[in-house]
Amino acid sequence: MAREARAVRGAERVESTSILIVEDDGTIAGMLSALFRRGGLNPTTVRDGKTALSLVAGSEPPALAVVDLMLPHLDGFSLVAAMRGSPRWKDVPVVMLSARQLPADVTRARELGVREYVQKPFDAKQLLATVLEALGMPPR
Amino acid sequence: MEAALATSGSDALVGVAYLIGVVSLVLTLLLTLQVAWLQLAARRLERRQRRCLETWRPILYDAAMGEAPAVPPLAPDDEATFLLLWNQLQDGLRGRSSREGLNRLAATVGAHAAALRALARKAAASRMLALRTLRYLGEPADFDRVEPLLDAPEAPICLAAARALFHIDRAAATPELWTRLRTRVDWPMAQVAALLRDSDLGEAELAGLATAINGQVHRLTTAELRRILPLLAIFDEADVSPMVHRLLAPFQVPEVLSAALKEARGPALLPDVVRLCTHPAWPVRTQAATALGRLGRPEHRDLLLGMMADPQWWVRYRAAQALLSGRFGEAGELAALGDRLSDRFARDILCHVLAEGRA
Amino acid sequence: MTGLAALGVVPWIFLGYFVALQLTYVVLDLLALGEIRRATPPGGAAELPQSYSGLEPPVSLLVPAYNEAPTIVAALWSMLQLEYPSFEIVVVNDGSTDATLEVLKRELDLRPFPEATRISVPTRRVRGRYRSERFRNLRVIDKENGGKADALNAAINSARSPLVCVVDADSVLQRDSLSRAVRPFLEDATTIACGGTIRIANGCRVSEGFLEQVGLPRSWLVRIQVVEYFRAFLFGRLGWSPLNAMLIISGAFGVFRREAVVAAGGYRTDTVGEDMDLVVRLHRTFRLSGTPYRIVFVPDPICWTEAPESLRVLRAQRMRWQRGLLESLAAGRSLLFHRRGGAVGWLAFPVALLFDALGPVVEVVGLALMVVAVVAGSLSVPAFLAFLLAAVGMGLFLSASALLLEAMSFHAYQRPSQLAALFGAMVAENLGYRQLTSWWRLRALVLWLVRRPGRWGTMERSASWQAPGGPR
Repeated sequence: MAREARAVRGAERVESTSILIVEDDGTIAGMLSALFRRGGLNPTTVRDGKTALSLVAGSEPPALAVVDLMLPHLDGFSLVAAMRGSPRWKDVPVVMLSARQLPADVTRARELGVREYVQKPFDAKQLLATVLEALGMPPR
Repeated sequence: MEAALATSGSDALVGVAYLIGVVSLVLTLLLTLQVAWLQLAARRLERRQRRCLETWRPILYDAAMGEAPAVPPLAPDDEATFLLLWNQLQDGLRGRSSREGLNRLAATVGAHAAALRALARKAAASRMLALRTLRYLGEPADFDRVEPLLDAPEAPICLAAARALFHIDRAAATPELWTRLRTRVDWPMAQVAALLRDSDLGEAELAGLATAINGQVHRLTTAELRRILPLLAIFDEADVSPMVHRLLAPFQVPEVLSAALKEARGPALLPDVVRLCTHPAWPVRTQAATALGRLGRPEHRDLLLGMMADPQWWVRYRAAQALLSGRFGEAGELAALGDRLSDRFARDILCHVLAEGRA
Repeated sequence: MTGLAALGVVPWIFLGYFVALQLTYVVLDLLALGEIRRATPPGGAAELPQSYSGLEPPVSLLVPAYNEAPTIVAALWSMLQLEYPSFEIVVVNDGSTDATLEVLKRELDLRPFPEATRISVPTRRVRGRYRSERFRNLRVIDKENGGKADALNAAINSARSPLVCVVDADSVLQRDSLSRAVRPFLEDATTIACGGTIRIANGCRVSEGFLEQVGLPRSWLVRIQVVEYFRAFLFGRLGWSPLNAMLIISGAFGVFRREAVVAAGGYRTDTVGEDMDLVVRLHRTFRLSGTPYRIVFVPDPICWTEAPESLRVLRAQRMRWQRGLLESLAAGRSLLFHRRGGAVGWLAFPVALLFDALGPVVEVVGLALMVVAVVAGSLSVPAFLAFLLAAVGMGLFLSASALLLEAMSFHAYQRPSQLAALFGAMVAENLGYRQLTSWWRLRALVLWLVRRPGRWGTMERSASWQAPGGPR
């Protein structure tokens, strides 16, 4: 209980504009990064699930994570499941990106508490608006 | 043997062997030099591509966010990399402002001219890249340039050309595609269907295409019908039901019946489907069971239960899936019904499909 | 005198044989070159897979497992990460005597699954069927021991998808392996089988079953095998592909149309070369019935496999390959010069018979005769050296052309030091390695001819499970 309370305080200390992008396609990852910087946010990009997992294990949580479903080494769902199991990361809102449109995936995302399941190709402006809204920031 | 090698022929033999050896070694040396040269060239190309990416990525990102960034001239050697990157972003992004921003950038750097140059090249990959670019640019004047590529020998090129044409002018592209569908047996029909589906055809174009198919359907051979029937999936049920009804006639061969059953979507076709549930060819029964899962009514439950004892696994499997489609009762009720089945095949397959459903 | 004249022909026959062999390979080399040009886009392969997205048919991955408890879970993890929209995995535990099934049950949360399977090909008794609660697209079949072919047959019975992908549990895949190997099925509806380039994983950096970085092994024995694999896949596979006459798809990774495999009767359980045997049988089934079909090869490197690092394992592998080759050719002999045999019956089969099956005889006997002749003084040392020069020179030329095609297409080994090492391996191959493998293959041929099943019985089974698949 006490540990959890500390964890919540820890989460509050986090810089409120930090975004973690987990996306393996270099062009799209760069696009997301540029987009979020444009929105006044502070993005960090990771290119595979395992590196992202090591962040979950040892780093401060971001204000929000944008996770691609199909990732090298560890898929998006497993990554989000690991986040949910981490005391510090469990409340990080997640926006999931996927080129797959299987109903089973959408259900799984909902079960994992994914905030928004965004279909690829995505609309850049809409995605930025979604992320800003999730952070409780005014749309630009 | 010893004597043989000592005969006069052996001198010539040694000479030939010697010559072969020397020539081979010289050729080997030349090949190795070429490999080394290729490696150098590849490294240069890679460095160049990396520089190109570093320069153009931020510019493309800005453009995709609807801005008009300052643009350096595009070096001829960088054209292919730029077009690839530009297409990747077009593929990855939706929304008008992105599309317009990227197209504005393309106009500024002269991507259209670059695409036309790539289109004239022999390499298939160059032409693919050009066609993808021309598709997103959507210039009406390009229609006549792209159209001849519908007759390219490589199916992927034809389909990329078709995608571009549909993006430029759907109404004009539809008949061009249709006239080639019959002869181009190498075009994967699933890709053609996906192309038509992605092209947001209007009602008029769809109805026109349906009429065209309908008008020709009696002239097509079995093989042609089997290939073209999957296309019907993109049309409204009402537009194709009369055609499908004709294809489900008793005199049709099993291959046509199976393909047509896949497209049976309207309740008007239910009597045909029920009749085909007892067809002697098992692939037909399999498709009939699936169609019954889409169209059947509660009174067809016993028919399906009977099909679950079919000698063919696929018929049993599809019949059980159809039974559990929700049209014939609740899963719990059907499971209980399954326990009372006397046929072991039917019980097993129901059990199997129920377990799959719990996934 | 006439006897002596007849004997004088013998060395010419040997030389003629080698020239014919080299010319055949040069033709295949040129065919392979054409294929590479056709298949490799100059701007990198990145764009091609995208053109097909969304249209891929579902695939069943078939994974036979025998005593793989330590590695099976890692292998499955890597397969679950494949970039492909829709696939299922069917693992077959072939009566393992270790904890394979227990490990699978624990790690994958297996639950019994009442599967009503079609029996398309007969197999040993199936003891149980399970499905993973963790990965809903993964099933496990537990059956009595019957060998790799029997396990694959059980997996084929259970597979639901129109395409099946046979993959060794120890294969190192790339995430795009499956989508690359499925492409020919999308491009041509008559495609029934597709293989891809297998490369050697020793020396590469591998992480959780996926290739991270390409590297060359330190051991010269393995480096030579890297060069061998270049050649084998270019001449043995890629060159034959445009003629639709490829005789083998490696057991380490291959995609097949399920119905075609069933039509050919599934895998044969009484051969050590079940992978080659299947392809030969597919050719025979479709050729003789006159059904149009294609068996193709994608030059993309899609699977990396661990090569033997010791002579003992290498010998077992090569003798097994040779025996598999002989068994497959013997079983498919009706194709040879058959009226409907086409390029398979009239070209690929005779070439395999003449050069692959009998090559070791000619090579070993030729070398032995020459050595005897030199010792006896009837062949001068310069003449001996000339013959040696010819043999080595032609071998080097073919290796170098394989190296060139590699550099033109995938360019996996990029550093100058790697090129130098490969060149060194090319030369070193002729200093003992080639003679040794020929000797082993000759022994396998003799053993096969005198049929001593007792000596093969136990060894063959363990070898068929442990040695990685690869070129022949």
